[in-house]
Amino acid sequence: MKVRDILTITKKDLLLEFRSRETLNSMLLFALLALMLMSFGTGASDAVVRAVGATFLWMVIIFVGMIGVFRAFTSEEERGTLDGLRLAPISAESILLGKIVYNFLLLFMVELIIFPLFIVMLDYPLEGSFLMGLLVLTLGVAGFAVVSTAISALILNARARELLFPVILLPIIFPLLSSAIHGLKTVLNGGGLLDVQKECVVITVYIILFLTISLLTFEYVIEAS
Amino acid sequence: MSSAISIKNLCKQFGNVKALDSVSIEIPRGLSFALLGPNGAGKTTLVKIIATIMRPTSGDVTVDGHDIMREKEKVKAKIGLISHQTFLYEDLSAEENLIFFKNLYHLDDGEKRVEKALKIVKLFPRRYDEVRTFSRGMKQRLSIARALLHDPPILILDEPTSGLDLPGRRDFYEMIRRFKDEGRTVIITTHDVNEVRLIADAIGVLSSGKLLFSGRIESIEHDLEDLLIDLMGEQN
Repeated sequence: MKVRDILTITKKDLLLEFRSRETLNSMLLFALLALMLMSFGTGASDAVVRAVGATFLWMVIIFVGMIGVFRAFTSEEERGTLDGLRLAPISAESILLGKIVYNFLLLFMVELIIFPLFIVMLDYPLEGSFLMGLLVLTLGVAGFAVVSTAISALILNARARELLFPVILLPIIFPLLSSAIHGLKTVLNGGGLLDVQKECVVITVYIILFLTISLLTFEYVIEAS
Repeated sequence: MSSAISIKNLCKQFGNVKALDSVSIEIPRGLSFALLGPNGAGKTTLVKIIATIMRPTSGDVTVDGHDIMREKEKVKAKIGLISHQTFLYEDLSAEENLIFFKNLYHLDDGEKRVEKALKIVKLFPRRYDEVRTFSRGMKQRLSIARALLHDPPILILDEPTSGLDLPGRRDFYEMIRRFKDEGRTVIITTHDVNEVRLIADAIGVLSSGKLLFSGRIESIEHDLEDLLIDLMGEQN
């Protein structure tokens, strides 16, 4: 496993995405529509926004993320390019990590756009630090990228994988999501990093655990069918 | 002459279906070997196993002396695979595609190789154009450039001419002859007997996962087509 190989895969995927903008545009459009609906729907008190805002934002990220992450491997298969990657003298782990980094960057770009919009459109009564909120959100997004990429690879050869993906992903990712939502809510409502220590540890452990499992099994997963 | 590819008792099973059943073949270096057989005979499965992208159920395969299970990366560096699928990214230009594969193969003098490969397949003037704008024949030529980029001694061609028009096929056969002249081992899977006559030194006939025949073309006493009909008939 070489960093150079991982970056080669990531760079290629970013180049393809910036050229076609298929996935990024769909993700942003969905996110904007969801935020608009939320802003109309929650024209309520500050207390309501504080109570449910972080959950709303994470729901948008989950659905937007599922659109984007799922494409990373399936698009290779649809284009008939997956065998080209399998044929190259690089480790299977490099392919997986290249896709994880790409998915994280894609989600991070969306996060950078929708997080400020979320604050503005919902008129969030921010009591904590915006940057700390972004930091905690980014950690959660990294966890989401790792777990969802690993699962999208696992079901690559499955029938009806579009249906299978959320059905498998959501229960598995639930502990990570509840920590990410709770952590974000705490920092947006005035909590410090020490207050979200437990949540950050849970997310980090989840990242390490899923990264280890997926790296150990990916060689078998990627085998041609 | 030592073998470029050595296959011993190779089996591949998908559930209850035996895709390959105790296949053993020795392919000497520098030879052009055609794998013949009807659809579903196991040709592509065999090619995928040799190219290390599919795991065998049992048996041994070595490529240029390297075991496909234990020395995957060394085997991959020895093989160039050209298939009816080009493995190219349509939204990238011809040059960007080759640069991507050059990076995956860790070729330090890659820029020169990319330029040379594009010139060999006569696509240098179109190097900045996206692959989606290419004809099927041009895409296949670029796929050859991709497969040749790391200068592999063994080329595997999995039904490479399917979808090509007559001029495209003629260019393709010309290139295969050139590969042979350069001393490369060429393995081609096909169900076209005429293609075999034009390019192969030896053949292997697969049907329902079993190797029915393997030998040099000149050792076949009667007509190749008759031999195939006899072999398939015997099996059925």
